[in-house]
Amino acid sequence: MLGELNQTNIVRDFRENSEIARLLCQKINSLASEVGPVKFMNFCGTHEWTTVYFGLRHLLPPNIELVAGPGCPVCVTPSYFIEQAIRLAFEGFVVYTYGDSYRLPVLNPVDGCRTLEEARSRGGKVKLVYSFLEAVEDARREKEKAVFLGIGFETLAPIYSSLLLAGKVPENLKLLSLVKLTPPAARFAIKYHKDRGLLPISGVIAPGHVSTVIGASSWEFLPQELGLPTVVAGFEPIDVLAAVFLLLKMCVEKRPRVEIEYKRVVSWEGNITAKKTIAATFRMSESAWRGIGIIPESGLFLKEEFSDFDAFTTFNLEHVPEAGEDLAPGCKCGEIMIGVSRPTDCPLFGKRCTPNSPVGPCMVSVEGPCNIWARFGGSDVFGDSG
Amino acid sequence: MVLVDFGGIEKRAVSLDEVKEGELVIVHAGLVIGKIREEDYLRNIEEIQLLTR
Repeated sequence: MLGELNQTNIVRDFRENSEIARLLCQKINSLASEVGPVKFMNFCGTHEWTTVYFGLRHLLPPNIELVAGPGCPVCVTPSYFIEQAIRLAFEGFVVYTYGDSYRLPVLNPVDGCRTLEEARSRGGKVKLVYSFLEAVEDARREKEKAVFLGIGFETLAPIYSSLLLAGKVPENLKLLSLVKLTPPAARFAIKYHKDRGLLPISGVIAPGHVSTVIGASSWEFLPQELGLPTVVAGFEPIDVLAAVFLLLKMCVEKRPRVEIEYKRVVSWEGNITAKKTIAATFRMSESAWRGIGIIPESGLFLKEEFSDFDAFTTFNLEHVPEAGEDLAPGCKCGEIMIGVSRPTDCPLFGKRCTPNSPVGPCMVSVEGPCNIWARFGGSDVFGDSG
Repeated sequence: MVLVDFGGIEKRAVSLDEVKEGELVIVHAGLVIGKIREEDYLRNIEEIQLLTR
């Protein structure tokens, strides 16, 4: 199994090695008989993608439930900000956006447009970019008034902060920082399950790439304050199976702690340089999560000294929009994102709401649970007809 | 700034830390967030193998 480090061998060793997968499943099934029902929650859409795409729920004993938590930043961006972006696109500002935000539907259409895609088709200035760097370079070249929709988790904050600190961002480009923080969302989701008398979360599969930036140490509060086993996992199927086994082991031993399964990438302290640039540029504050509500200390906003680049300041936007109904009638994206409902529990899933014609935000992004279930069939393990 | 080869497609990315030619990196929306070192990769494999024993 040992081999030279390259992309092909990573796939061979962490995806295609069916013998290791089989042995891990055996171990999981054996250990699962020593615990009652357990519920492990992930906080990354890519973990849910791996779980569904590789059929991992089918391999687990019935007393282990894998639940998707709020791990999709596009899914939890309030409709208000997309509505404002559509408005700006029609007011002559270039709106730079990542691809998966392009089709994010709003609750209140602006000039008849539900999405930035529709806005663009009707003459709004919307540009799709792969990265903030591309937006910076385009804005500098074209010299038009512009705004960048900075949707993302902690993995995206360092590129915003580093380019701002390096003085690379031109004055005509404003950043709308919609960065959300995963550990506060995890705390919120865990408390939500407990407060509603649901089977409590028994363990956490922590996001691999967020943890690459913030460090595995950022999850210490889970075992220390909440008694929860926590494993920082990679994104291949063998990574996730190994994480499930490690969580079970901690449940049986009753010795919760943070373990790093994704050792080839994640360290205890994370990316120190990235964390320093984030601290120099952003301040933490409460933020609104679409369909969920306001979560304390869960958003990153630009510090005062960067107000010249801050879209909130320039366009007088609300940092924390009203946390009222932010979803279309009947849409259960909020409950799905917090892990208390499955996509198939939503009356719109697969009927009015599909990947081609999304109603709810969870159906838009490739990291959204509804999109994942719709494309790869996440429901059949539960005997659902959806 | 570094040039990253995504299996044949090359894109520029921002890197906060030094990256040498030939190193395997993790890129998230135009930012190099980490590198994979061979010793960490081999340790990861070894530890997963140990779990199965």
